Amino acid sequence: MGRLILSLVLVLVTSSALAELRPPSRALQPVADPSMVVMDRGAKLEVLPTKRATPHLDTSGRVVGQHVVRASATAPIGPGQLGVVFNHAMQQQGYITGEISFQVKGGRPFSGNPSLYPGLKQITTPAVYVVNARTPAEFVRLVKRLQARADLDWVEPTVTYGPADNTSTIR
Amino acid sequence: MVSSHAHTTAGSSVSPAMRAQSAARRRAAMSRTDFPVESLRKTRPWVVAAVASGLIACGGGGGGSSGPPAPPTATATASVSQGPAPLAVNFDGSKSMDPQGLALSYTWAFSDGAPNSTGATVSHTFNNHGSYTVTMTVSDGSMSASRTLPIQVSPAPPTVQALSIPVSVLGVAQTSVPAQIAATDRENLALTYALSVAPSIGTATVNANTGAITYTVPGFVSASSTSFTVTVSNLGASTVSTVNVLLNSDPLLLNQWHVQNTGQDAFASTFPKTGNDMNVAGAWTSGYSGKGIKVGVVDSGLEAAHGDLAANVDLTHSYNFLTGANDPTPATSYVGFDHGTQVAGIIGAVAFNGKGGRGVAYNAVLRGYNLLAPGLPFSVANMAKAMGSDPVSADNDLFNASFSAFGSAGANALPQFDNSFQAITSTAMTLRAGLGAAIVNAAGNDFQDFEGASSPLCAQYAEAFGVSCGDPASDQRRGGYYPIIVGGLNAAGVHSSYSSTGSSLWISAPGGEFGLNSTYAGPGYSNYDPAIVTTSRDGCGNTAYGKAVNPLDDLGANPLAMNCQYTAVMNGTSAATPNTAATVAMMLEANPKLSVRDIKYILAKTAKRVDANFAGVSSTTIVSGSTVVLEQGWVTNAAGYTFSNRYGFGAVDAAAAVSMAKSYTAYLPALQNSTGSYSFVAAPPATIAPQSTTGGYINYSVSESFQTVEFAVVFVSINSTPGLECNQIELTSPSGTKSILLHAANGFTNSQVPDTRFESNAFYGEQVNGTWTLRFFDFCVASGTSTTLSTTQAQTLAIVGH
Repeated sequence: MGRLILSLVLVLVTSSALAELRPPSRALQPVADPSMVVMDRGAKLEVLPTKRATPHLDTSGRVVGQHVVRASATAPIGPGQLGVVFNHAMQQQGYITGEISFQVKGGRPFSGNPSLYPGLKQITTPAVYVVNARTPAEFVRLVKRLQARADLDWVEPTVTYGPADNTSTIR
Repeated sequence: MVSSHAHTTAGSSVSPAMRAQSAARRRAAMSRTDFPVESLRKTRPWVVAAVASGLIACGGGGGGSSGPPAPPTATATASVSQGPAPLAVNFDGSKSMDPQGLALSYTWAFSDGAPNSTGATVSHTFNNHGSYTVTMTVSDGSMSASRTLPIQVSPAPPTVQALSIPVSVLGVAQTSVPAQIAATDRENLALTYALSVAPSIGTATVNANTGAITYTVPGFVSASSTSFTVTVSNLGASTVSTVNVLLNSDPLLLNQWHVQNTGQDAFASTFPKTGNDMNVAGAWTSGYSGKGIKVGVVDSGLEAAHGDLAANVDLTHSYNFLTGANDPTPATSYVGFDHGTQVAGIIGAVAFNGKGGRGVAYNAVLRGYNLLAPGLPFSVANMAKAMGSDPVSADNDLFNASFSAFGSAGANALPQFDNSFQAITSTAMTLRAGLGAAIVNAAGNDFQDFEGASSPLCAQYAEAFGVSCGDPASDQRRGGYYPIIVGGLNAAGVHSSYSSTGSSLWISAPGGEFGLNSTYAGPGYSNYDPAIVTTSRDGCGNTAYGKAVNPLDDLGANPLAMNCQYTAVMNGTSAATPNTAATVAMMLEANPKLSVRDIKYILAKTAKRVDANFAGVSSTTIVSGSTVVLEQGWVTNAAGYTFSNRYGFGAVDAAAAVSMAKSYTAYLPALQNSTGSYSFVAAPPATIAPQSTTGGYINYSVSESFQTVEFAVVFVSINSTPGLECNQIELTSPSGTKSILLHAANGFTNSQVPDTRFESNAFYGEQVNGTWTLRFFDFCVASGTSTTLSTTQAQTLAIVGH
């Protein structure tokens, strides 16, 4: 009988927990360095210049986390060493190779000094291009430079979101 | 050796005594030789020839000078008197004699139309069957005698070519194979055919007049061969020929419940529930197998040399983003099973080769693009190259995109709309001369967690209420305008435990559960139901669990997977997607004129309603005194389509889809996007009242020149504290159909949703024009929570249709 009563109590507690949507308060991560923030389709995307990440794979080859380490702000980013960002709208950490895609209005070819647009390459039609930033600072500059152009439909950094596997140890 | 003896017959000048003597000798000769004998040609009517016995026929009458000249004595023998054609016979008349010792000439007439021969000994071949009389005539120049020999030639047995019948054993249905006995008769005699010994496996029929064979095997067989015999006969002879039957099948087909579910063993602890399959049998028996359809497998790579894939892999149009070469095979240094190899096997594992299982579209052309290779960060440029924006992939007929949050597991937030993915998919829609290359895309495995990454919100809300934690909209690399979003079904025919639900879902297909067998895997797992049996990367160091988990995934102990090149633990919407892609391949084989939208239409039209009693998920406690519907059950819209966020339009029915594709001519007219401005920017404070069951809403009065909805899209911008778990967004059509775009009790962490796209297929076929209502809810009760619409970004509605 004692067990039965205990079970009933547990059921009631569980039901109560289920009864309403009562989310715990969560502290939003604030912007640490406004100079490293770019607006990405309405969201604040902050580049964390002194963090780099390498993927952590499970046996399926699937990325289950990112191993995040400290690095110099000038250390390169790329496919082998990802830059780290934080999307303040999603409240999610993300990872970048430095790739930024954009589309030229009206399908016209892109014009600009190639030296200002590293890795410039058209990837699909109509007039969709990518560039590849090589450092966090260059990433911010490139996004802003592209966004400042009036001849582009849109500008999108390529960001992959997911948890770090050592988030608690890196600040 | 036989002989016969000629005798002369009496002419009018022969005395009766001599005639009597001659007759007596003739009778005696006949009785000795059993030959009907005789002809006598009297060239000299006064001559009487006596018949001798034995090998020698003697001239009669004593000869010499004591009487009138005697005729020669004709004696002939044949080496053989009967036999099958062609019958070669040596004739010998050399024992013939002339009483006067005169030299003899020999003439042989064979009665078969051949020219006469001369000489004491001759050889002759009787080419045709028949009864022949060979007449030898000997002449000494003035007199002659003849001797006849009967030759009986029977027909030669027919010549029958060895026959071996390769049978591609469908396994899922009766397989009948026609064949033809190739038999000839050297005289062109009519032949008859009869089955003399039946096969031990299957049945065989033989047309008695034509030799046409039909070999039939009723279903799956495990043996690799059988045989039967056919007797081919002419008028008098026959040949018995053994027909060998090569039974080419795929041993693991028997376990592939997604192809045909007979409740068979699929290596897991539990068995599938009979009948819950993709109805592939009907497509195969109609002759469709995706032959020649080019499928881009955009995944982690695929083992191009895999013994059950290689024959279908096109390396020329594959690409490896790690090496820059064409071979997408994972690096040998990488230890871990290969997702892409498993996906490729579901689509197009080679059939009838005695190895492993069988791809649903087993004659499709497989091209691999390792966009998601381990160690390769995601790249928009790579995606474009893999999905039709580069010559290496631009002539694919469809793309299998079994990825969702692959590469970003745990991204438990709604991202912004992805213009680059939209551009890439739009380019894919221009392929195939404008018909479009279908992108078949996984819904995701976020029902209980985010791709295996635990989430407190999932456990606290979604899992507790029984709704999906994630949504196909939660990954920026899926759910564009055009992909066919696929959810998973298990072997019981209902929603797979992991499969994300959402209004952008189009269809569901077998994805299975986890394929674990407790005898092997041991306790501690939550699910022991069947997964999908398919190819896997060679090597027992590459297994998913790193240990034996079922009788097939037994670290090489199973003779059918000695190098762990097959697995029974492939699952997920990653598995449901290639099942659908393979069906699309068969549809395109049946009708190459189908556009992507035609394909989607046919899939929706032919989908099977599963889990028919699914009524959705409601709560009466979220808002006290009210019922909050978090997920609707099946809803039949005003156009008659039945849709649910859990299953889309239902389960893929491959046979029905292929059948409809074959006869399909009502191609959809050009796609049109709404051109009106259906945007609303809220004025401050734009707060959504908490705990309100009416929420806040926006009405859009839509007026377009096109009539029929294909899908509806909204771009939403809201702010929510602390996250989205209390928020629900619904869209209602002018016809009154409601679609839940985002349900409350989700697992998303966003504090802001900036211009995030939601899509719904629930209105398919309904009328475009009228008032559409977009409604926002905040079901939180906690203090400090709030939801407001953006006061700077618009809430926008777009309708796409025709």
